[in-house]
Amino acid sequence: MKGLLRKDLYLLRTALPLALLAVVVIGAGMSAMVSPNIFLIMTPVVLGIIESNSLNTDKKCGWPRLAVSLPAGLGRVIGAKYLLYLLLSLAGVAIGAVAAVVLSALLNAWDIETFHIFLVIGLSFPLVSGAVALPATYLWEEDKNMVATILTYPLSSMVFISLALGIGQILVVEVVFLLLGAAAFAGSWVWAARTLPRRDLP
Amino acid sequence: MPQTNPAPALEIRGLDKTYPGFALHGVDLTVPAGSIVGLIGENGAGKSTTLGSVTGAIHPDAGAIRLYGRRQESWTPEDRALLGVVLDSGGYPQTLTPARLGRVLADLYPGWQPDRYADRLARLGLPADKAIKTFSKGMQAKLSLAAAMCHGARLLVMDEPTSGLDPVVRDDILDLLLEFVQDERNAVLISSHITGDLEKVADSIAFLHEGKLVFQKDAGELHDRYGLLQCGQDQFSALNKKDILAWRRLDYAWQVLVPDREAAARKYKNAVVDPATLDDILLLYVKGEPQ
Repeated sequence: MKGLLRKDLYLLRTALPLALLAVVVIGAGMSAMVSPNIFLIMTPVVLGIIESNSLNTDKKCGWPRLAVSLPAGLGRVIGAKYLLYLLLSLAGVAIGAVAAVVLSALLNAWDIETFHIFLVIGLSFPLVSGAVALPATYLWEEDKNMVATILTYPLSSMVFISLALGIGQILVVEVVFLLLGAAAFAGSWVWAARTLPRRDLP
Repeated sequence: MPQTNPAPALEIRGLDKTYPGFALHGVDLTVPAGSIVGLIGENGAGKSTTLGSVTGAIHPDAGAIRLYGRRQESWTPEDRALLGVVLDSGGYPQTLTPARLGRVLADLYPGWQPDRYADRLARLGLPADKAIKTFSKGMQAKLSLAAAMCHGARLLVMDEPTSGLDPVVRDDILDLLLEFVQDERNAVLISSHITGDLEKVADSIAFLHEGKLVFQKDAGELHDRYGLLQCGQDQFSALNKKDILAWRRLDYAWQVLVPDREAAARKYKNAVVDPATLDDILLLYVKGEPQ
């Protein structure tokens, strides 16, 4: 597992600076239009997409055909992707939270209620998206899996809005949405680690 | 880790795999320890499917695969560490450097040999701190082989590793393979379209055609005994069918693959009988009429 994480972290070193720069530039602009709390959603989403897209990079160089023969076994190779995706998403939330708090203070726009709504969305969206995007990226060609990844975000929004309209109490909606996201991600992780190694490599 | 283990490095028995439009059927293949087995066949014959079944990339419909006597279903991480896989595409992320790749592989393989790896990189002229994407195809091929040979692998499974490489690089790689099997516990299974490379290093040749194993024979026997008989129509009609492995008709002559060229030369004095190369054998089976 350690070697698999190390490999992806080496790859992230090249992708991360540009991605974070994009987050800062776009986030700064959107902070003024929407809310500084936008960083709570943007940062984990971007970091999560980078990690799920690393599967496409792996497939292009033929890494899965080598990884399948590793002592760790393909289940752990897949599990490492999920683990790093989760860690990066959480790191993204942490970074986003710091950015949101600092910018909110600077812009005198601090609002605790908006902050925790964005926080929950920032935690949940990557979980729901990753639950779909990671296996989709493994199984499908790049053009299809990118579409699947992108579509998970409006679908997640629809789920959140439906819960909000159905339940009403925002705190309950947040907890339910977060639990749904965690369950989806955990279920996807277990399913992928057990099922995907039994399939022929695409 | 096998010690005085008489089991072959690799045994494949009854391998079946069906895809829409293609079926691998009943493939039996043995790679003895201390040997190099070359796997040849036309495009789509099933070579990559066979190799993929060994590495785990493909799950056969039926058949048994044993690595030093241990069935694939019961391979432990230690057993999988005995496999070294070398692909024509390399397989390593292009933004890594050989040095970083070494650190990754050190975490992935308990038997990783960092000093040996560093030595190999130096001997092969591979810069440790340049990204793999800056390497030529030949350098990437050498890196793949170096990485596979430095984690304690005993069986190298190589899928077209010399494809697209110049003769000098191919020669370097073949030298490394011969060095690898100096340790008689080691073995190599290599598929290649460059049959000249296999003629230089392989101890036996396995020929796949349309999903079936046509033969696995000692390379020496193929080189020393097989022959290509060329004759006219009348002579062809007079040939004993038992002397023919495969034949094809060209514009002005018939080409016949015979299993014993000296015997054929004695028997058919008016025919021209030359040694058959692996390419000749492959062409006659694929484009000709097997008996």
